[in-house]
Amino acid sequence: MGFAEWPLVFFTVIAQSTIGAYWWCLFNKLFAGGTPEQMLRLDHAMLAVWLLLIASFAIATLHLGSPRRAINAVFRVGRSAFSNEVFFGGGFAALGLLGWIVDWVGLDWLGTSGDWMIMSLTSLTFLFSLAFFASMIALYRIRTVPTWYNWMTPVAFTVTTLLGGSALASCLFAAAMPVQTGLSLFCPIGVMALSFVGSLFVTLKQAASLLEIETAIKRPTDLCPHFATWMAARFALLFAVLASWIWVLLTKDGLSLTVGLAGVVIVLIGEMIGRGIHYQLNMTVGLR
Amino acid sequence: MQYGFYFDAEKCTGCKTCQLACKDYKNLSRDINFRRVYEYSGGDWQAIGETWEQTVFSYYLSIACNHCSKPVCVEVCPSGAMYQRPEDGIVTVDEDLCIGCQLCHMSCPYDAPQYDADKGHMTKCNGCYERLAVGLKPVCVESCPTRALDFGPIEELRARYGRFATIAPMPPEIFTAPNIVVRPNPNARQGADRTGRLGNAEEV
Repeated sequence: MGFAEWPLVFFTVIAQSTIGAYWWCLFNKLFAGGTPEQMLRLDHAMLAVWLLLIASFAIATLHLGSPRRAINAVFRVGRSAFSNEVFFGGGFAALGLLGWIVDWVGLDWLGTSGDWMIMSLTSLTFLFSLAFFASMIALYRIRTVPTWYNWMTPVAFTVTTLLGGSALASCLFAAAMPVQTGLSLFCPIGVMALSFVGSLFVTLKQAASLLEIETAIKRPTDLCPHFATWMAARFALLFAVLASWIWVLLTKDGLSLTVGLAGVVIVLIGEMIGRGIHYQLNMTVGLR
Repeated sequence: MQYGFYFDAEKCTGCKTCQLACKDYKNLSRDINFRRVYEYSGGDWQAIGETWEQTVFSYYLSIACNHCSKPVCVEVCPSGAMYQRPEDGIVTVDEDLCIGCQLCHMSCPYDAPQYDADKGHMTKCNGCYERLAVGLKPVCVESCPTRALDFGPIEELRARYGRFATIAPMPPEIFTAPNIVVRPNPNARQGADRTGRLGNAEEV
């Protein structure tokens, strides 16, 4: 386990970041706005979100021993969190991509019916994103795995969604609007700062809780002896991105696409370190 | 009807014949063991009045799948490949359906589902149901030279041997309701014991 599970590390971190980025773009569309040209550019830039999500699913299949049977993973939708994750994740990607195509082609020729269809599609995509997010959390709530079965795992996944999502969305905003103002500038930075503090808190609580978990033959501290070193590296990366964003805020230049892209890569690497540790801490209440 | 195992820790000498018989019969590769024998040992010096006495202990736990009544491996399986047979409660895996996600392996506190990298999917103890069908016991049970193992309807085993089911390093029964009866060794520690260690970690 651990970093050997790199397909799952890539999949979960990238997929959660795309969910967060989608939420930001939707939020921006509904509440922040911009010129019609900027909104159109943002709609087009969202292709990156859907391609990243599809790529993360492709990477995830590398974890499977029999990837050709991957479709079997949806056989227990409603009863297995794994099946729900694949179903809602696949649905989210398909609906998102469909929405992007509709945005690209336009449904003006349908009149009010077109508007109604776009609104329905957007609502359904949002619901699928929520279900996908929830099923990813539920998948790791396994009662026999004490290192995962706690309140910290859902919070850590939420933090990744907000951190990765904010970084990715800001990059899209930078691509759509040369100088961001208002919500599209302040909100992602604010959320990222809050998520950073939340992440720090969860990590400290997790470090303390690991000392209390023990079976007759296993201790999580033995599974990940360099927990503190890895987490320090992770927070150094996240802090570097946060600091660069605050600098952008102070200089009032707006986030450039280059700085935004570098931020996304660094945040994703930081979160992947955290996720690798998550898998490394897999142990059960018994013999394994 | 629900089948289950009986393990007598008093009789087990840790010879691992059960483990090897299973490996041979099921033609398992080097890294896969449906049945494993854990060596649990520990002890310290204890002050008794003016003297010190040692409390050294060591015993064996032979364990395979316990065909639990609340099998977490079945709960987490996304494809339905891991399932419990309604006729005898044996938990087994449909190897033609399994996608090899290993979530059952991450979840099972008895390390029963084992990933076969060559096959690309999970494998596990199926209670030798093909032998049961012709009136035979599982190969691990029949191979045990000290008769420390038994297999049969769990209520019959409980009527014969009692309901005790957990010694260290096994997990508490509450998690998966395992169908096993254990006769403890006099040195055996309770499930919540934290004074011992695994003597053969690299082997199991």
